Amino acid sequence: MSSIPEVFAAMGEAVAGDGGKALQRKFKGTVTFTITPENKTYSLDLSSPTSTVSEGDAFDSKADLAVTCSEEIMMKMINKEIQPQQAFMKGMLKIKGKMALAMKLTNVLAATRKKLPKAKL
Amino acid sequence: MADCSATGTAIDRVFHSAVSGLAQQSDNGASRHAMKALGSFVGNTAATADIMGAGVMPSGPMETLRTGGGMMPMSTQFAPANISHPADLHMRNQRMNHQSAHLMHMPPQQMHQHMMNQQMMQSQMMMQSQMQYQMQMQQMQMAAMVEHQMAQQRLSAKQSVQDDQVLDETVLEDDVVTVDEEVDQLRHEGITDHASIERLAQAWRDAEAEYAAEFDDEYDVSNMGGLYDNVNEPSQSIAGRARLNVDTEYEFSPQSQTYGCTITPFTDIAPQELNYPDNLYERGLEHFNAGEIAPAILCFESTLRNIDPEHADAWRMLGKCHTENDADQKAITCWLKSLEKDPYSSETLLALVVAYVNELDWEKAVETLKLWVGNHPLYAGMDNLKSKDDLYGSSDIDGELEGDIRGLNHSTMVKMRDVERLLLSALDYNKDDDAAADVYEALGVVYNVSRDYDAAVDSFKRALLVRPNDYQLRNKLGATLANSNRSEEALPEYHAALKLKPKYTRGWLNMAISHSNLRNYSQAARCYLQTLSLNPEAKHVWSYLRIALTCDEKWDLLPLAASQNLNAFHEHFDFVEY
Repeated sequence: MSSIPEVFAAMGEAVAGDGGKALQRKFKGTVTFTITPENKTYSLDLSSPTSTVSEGDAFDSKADLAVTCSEEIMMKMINKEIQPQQAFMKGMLKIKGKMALAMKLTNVLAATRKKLPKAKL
Repeated sequence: MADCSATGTAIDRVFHSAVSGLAQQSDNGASRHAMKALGSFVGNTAATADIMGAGVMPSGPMETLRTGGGMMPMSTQFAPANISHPADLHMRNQRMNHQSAHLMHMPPQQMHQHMMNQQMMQSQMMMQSQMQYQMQMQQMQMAAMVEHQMAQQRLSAKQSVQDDQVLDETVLEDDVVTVDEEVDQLRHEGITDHASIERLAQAWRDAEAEYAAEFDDEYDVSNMGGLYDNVNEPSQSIAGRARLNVDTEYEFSPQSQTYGCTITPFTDIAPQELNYPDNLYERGLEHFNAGEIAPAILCFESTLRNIDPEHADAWRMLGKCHTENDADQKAITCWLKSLEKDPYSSETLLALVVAYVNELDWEKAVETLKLWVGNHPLYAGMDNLKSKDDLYGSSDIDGELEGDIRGLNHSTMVKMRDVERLLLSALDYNKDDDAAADVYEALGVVYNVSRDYDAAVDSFKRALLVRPNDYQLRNKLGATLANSNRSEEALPEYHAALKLKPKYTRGWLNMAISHSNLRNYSQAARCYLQTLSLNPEAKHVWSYLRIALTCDEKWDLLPLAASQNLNAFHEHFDFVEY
């Protein structure tokens, strides 16, 4: 289906504007996503009034939460083929930092899902 | 242990008399296997003990091992009959392993006290867990384990000295923080440090439930503006076989107020006196077939507002216009209104099913599909198969798991399989090609719901054999291919559809999405722009365009997209302004 750059671009769309404010209510903080095996990093910044998603590590390893997973797992989570907690239990998703933020990860994923284009019958 | 073996041998004798030497051998084999498993288990706990460096550790599980071991011989006697036992043992091992791992987090001085409590509770828990496990094998495994540990943690936290420590922490936190939310968060964090895995999983499940409750999980494309508004159409229960209750009102566009009127309306002429041509509806049809959706919409709306509000066909065509414009929500409203006047129209019903599928409303899709089959003139004589599964509940645990993951609840899954059977039998009932095409189309849609994409593709292809020039069918096939990661194959289908109808907005949009899937971002952007030129009202497409531009790293064009300035894009991309 979609690709990793698209997913994070969609995440950017999801956190911009009103949607972002709603997410911010639940979730103040910064997150770095690291996607293996290329080890690309994306940073989600929900701490300031304007939330953004950008490529690369914007917080210099000082983000509130660091999430690491493979591209395959990320796509599976986006497509609802696996839940984040399942991935975590199996060790396919690694989390470091504020656990409280990690718990809100599903909200971010759901918001991103809504912004991803899907072909219509 | 003596007791066990006494009863064991008695039963054993009976067992052996029934089966010859083979039973004896397999018994031994099973007990050997069990012993091996026990051996590895001991090895495991010893290893964890080493890691923890707390000498007290081994006694706990060893004790239970003995009790566990005590139970072993009895059960292995029946091993040949009950195949699940090795798995059973493994399960219990896992649980015990996790428990011991969990204990790692307690500071050593509390260990002893914990051990006492552990042993007391563990024998109790052994009984409990066995029963639980036997009842719900696969999916409850994790949840039960987690819950046990949580309960255990709470229980042991009460009885141990560590309780004071936790209290101290929270008291401290109260002093420092003033806002309630943050206290909650911090306390949360405090606890999670001690038992990360279980707490996290529980919290995630809670967050999901909370999120699902608060933010409607449906993918509501035409309502992107109010993304997190809980826009819930009051549930439209399909009461009776063909009546559909419509609670949402359709909002006419302002221009259709007096569209197509034969005399120029003055402000002082009363609306009833205005004259409208009789063929307004037909004109609408002409516009629609020529691909001019906007004037078509105006014609139909005017027909409904000024000539005949009961015009079921006009409602239906209006719905079709909206769906071509990729505004499924509006289309649904129109079709529901059309069904009010003409409840048996199979075309409307099928279109409604497709719209529900696009809006990810599986329940309504399946219900409407049932109505479609029920009301289809060609299948009037067919027996309506009653859902057998509904009577007996379902032993299909796999189905439940699968449904949950895909966002389908279990009953919908069952109904869907029902409809599938109905459709397949409809194929047998009426071998006429044309009727078959209808059924294949419906089947394709059903398979999209259950995500049997291969079957869906096959069904649509067969439908296309009968109707090769149906551009909507082509689009459906393309969309199915795209959604199952076969975007490359989808592109020719979209091209075919667009050749049949060059102004097919949805076709352009879907093609753009496929290009995006194939990472042809500039092509995708071009198609999005084309879509926008055909339908400037489609706000979500601007969002998709921004995504494509971002992926293509054309950041300088983003502000243009943000301002929704379509004209400015002409110099960057080659698209036609209709």
